[in-house]
Amino acid sequence: MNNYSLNFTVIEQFSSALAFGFLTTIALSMLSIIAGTVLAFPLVRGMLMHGRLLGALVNGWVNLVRAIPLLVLLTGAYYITPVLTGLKINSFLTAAVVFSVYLSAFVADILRNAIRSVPESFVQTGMALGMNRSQLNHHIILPVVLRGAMIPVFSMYLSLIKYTSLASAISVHELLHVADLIVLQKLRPVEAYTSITVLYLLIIIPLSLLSRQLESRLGSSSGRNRTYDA
Amino acid sequence: MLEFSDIHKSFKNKKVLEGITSKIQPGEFVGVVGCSGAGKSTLARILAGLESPDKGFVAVDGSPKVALGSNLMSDDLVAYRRSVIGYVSQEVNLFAWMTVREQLLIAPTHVCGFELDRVNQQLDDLATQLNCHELLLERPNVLSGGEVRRFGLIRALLLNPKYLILDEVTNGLDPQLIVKISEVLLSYAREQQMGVMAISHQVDFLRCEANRILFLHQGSITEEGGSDILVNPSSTELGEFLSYVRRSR
Repeated sequence: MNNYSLNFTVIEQFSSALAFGFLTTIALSMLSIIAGTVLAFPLVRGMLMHGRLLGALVNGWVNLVRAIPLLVLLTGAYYITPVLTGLKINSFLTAAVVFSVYLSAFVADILRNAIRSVPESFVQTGMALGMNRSQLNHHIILPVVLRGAMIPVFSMYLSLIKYTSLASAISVHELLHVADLIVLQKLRPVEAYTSITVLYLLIIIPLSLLSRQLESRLGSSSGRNRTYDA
Repeated sequence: MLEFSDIHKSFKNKKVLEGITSKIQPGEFVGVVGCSGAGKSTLARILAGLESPDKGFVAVDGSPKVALGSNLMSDDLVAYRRSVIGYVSQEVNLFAWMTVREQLLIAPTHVCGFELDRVNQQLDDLATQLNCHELLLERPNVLSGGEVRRFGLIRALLLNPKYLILDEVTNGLDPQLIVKISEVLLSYAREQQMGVMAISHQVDFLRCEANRILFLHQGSITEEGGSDILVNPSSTELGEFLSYVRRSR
């Protein structure tokens, strides 16, 4: 190390700021995950409307959101909204809305693909067993979709938690923003970024382990569906 | 009695069925034979209410005609599939996310509302008769093709259908298993007075077990009669078909 001695006591002075940043990161992530997931359902419904104007519009919207870099969406929303509306907007709220919209597009796409992957023969089997539309959804389509979508959706949630660091670009007091403040005030980048890395890992590692467990449980309980075709 | 009349079906411009008319009596075993592409499976799917015919209807026990219209999820057709017709296709699907017993109970208990204890008892009886009881707690990915077929048949029988349509269910199975399945099926059909229509290329099996044979050729029934028509066919088409069957043995 180039004449740089580690001094983590500096970090103690910022412990309350770091705690606030940690909680802000968690709150922003949770809010965005819940709202983004809820928003994804009407989007999926729209995406599956073939040959209708609404379907085309929703598909276009989802593709557009997925194509734009998240940082561009975030800073764009933060700086353009006041220009267009004259309103002074809250940076946390802006970040939550942008992350929710961004996540909803990806989750909708994952769910749409999972629904399309339900084999037609499964649906026919359910129909032959006398199931009506809601029974088909409940007993056949939903279990297949959940198994197909759960892991990619969970993985998207983990990515979103990491993406919340981008909110520092619009001055949301999340972890990265606090680390930047420490660096500016104390010139201690190693201690600052190491500390927030540890805090990020505290959030991400348990969720990653949960994801692995979910993956292995789904893997062992699903295996492959058994079809015997003469 | 399940009567089907003037069933027509085309796919794009290809006529698959052209005015099929016949009936299945309660307790009767009707065998359907014909070359590949004759329209047998399409007829089975239409009678099972899974495919819409371009024209034609079915009538059950003299009740008003069931319109096999384009809306396959209409209340009439769902009720028809639930309480009148059982169908076992060439392709039997078992779902990997639950045990065999769990998935076999879904339709009788959650769809038809049958009493769980009675269905469990019936399931145990049928699985024991078909030598697959010990597999009920397994997941489908460990089952062999013959076992999957047996559970497909049991799943259909648990709904107590009045008429059962079997589409090449015994194809590819060993002779011992075919005899076992047919014994159980025929005894169940006699007991419940269930009409059975079985599509099969196994002419010997149909000659022994079927009360009546329909021979489909290019979308039409060209010969219909007792199982003796499989020995002494009157149409040249059936004669040719049987000679190919003999040569392929």
